[in-house]
Amino acid sequence: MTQSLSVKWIVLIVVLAALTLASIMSGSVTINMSQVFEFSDESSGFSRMIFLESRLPRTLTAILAGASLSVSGLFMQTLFRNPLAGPSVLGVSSGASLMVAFLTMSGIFQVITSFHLVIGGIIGSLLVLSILVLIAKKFRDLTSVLIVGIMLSFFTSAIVSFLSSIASTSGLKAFVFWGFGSFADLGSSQLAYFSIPLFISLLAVPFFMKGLNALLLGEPHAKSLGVNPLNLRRNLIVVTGVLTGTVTAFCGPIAFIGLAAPHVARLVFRTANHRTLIPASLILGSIIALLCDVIARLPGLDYALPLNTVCALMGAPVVIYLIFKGRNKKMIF
Amino acid sequence: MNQLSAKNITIAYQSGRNLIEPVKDLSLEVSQGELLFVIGVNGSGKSTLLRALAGLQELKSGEIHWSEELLKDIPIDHRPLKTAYMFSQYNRVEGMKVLDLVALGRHPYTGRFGKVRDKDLDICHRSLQKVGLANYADRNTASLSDGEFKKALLAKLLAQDCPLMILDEPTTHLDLPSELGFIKLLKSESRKSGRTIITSTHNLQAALKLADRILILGKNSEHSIGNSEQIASSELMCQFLQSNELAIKDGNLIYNVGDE
Repeated sequence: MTQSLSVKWIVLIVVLAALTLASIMSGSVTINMSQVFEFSDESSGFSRMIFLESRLPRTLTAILAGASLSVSGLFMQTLFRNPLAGPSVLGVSSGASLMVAFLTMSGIFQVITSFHLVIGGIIGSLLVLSILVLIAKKFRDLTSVLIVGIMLSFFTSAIVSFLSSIASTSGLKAFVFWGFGSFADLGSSQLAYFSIPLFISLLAVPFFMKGLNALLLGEPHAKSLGVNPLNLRRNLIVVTGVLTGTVTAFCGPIAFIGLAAPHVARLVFRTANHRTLIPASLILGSIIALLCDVIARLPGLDYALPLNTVCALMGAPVVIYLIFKGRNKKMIF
Repeated sequence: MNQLSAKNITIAYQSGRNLIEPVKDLSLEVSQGELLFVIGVNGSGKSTLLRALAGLQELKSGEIHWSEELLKDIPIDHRPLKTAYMFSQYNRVEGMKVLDLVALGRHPYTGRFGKVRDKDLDICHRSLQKVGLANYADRNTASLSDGEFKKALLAKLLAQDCPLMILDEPTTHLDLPSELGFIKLLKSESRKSGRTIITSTHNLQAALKLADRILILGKNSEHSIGNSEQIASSELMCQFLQSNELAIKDGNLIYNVGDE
């Protein structure tokens, strides 16, 4: 039992390492790894520049984004006791979408760089996040919080639709491209802005293992075990909001990874214990993100596929499979 | 020694425009090792009272002591070291192992990251043994029958290792033999380990036979407390039984239902 368990962890880590390498290697230009670490002639300088400025940031972005989204999805699935909850369920990512839509399509701003989009995305997610935290404090029952989150999504998407209808062609195009999702938009200089909030939030994640286990049987039960459910709820929403908001701002609204990765973790380890599920979701989220990234750049393709196309094509069958599996057992959660 | 004492407690909450007081001016002393049953019709405030005794419900007035300590002064995270509570309903979590469920009882004892140590696991296994689920540790809780699930929850409560255990209708939905088995487990636990146990039930017969004392709650916040004989002949019991079709004779519940 323990042996097969550690085998599973080793396999996951090996797969993660292999995909990391594959992701670094894949792209329109073939880079020679031996040249990356040589510091002599011109050609090696070119490979090194591609490696440092394009490939490494892209791969690290994928690893961090995947881990962040999937742990966010796990948090939301446990908090709402709903297997179909994901990081976007709170409406945080639609808050980011709204701000990005406003920047790209309202026509007020003349020049929009990716840096503007990122700042806008973060402001948008923080806005929705603060509304949610206020609501989560007010309402005793979680369903209200869930409904408000979903309604915020509807509300923002209505405004986004309106902005799209009045947008210029180039603004609309910029927004649509942002919506495709991408790990490749970050250069090495922006990577710091991206990774610092994520790192800080991810450091907080292990402290939720205990509370989330108590939360599995519902908020009243958590309270009977000495956990303050309202504080736990607020903390979960803040961490999820920062993780999802940051990733969405930098990479676009990425579907499915946050929803599917925790389910894959449950399937692999056959447990509901967050001491296993949290690290498993982190690794599996990175694995799925890297896999999507590699598939989006398969050799033979002239250009990279939109990330969300790949995610949805891979993710949808997984979710459908899980629903069927849940039907057979009568219960998912 | 009193494990629990409640002095003039009143619980009130707002329901629309009405102020509801399911528990009014109730006083209660429960001594160490006592098995107290709480009975009453639906809506008489059993659950509200039990939650309040467990510190999970605000009081409007009055005070509750656990041993010598005023409940209000005990920090929330210290309470589960002293009192274990079982709700009347739990969600089954797909994929949750029985051992993980029982280990939740060790939650108040584990560190920041919730690591369950070998010592905790020993206690969990012993608790499973006590409720007769020794071989169930690796089973998925979703695959258990209702009776087995309730026993697993009891094992979780035992693993919490508290001097006071409060259970809200733990045997609802159980078949008669499972229900009796469960209540006998409570009885033996109160006898062998000296734990104080307060449980609500709709099984009047079992309460009459096995309780040290019974607390009966009426519809309008009245209550009386006493041993089986006293409660059997109390006015509230007459109200509770409502008609001649149910009666208590020689400490046994009788169904006076004939062909019509």
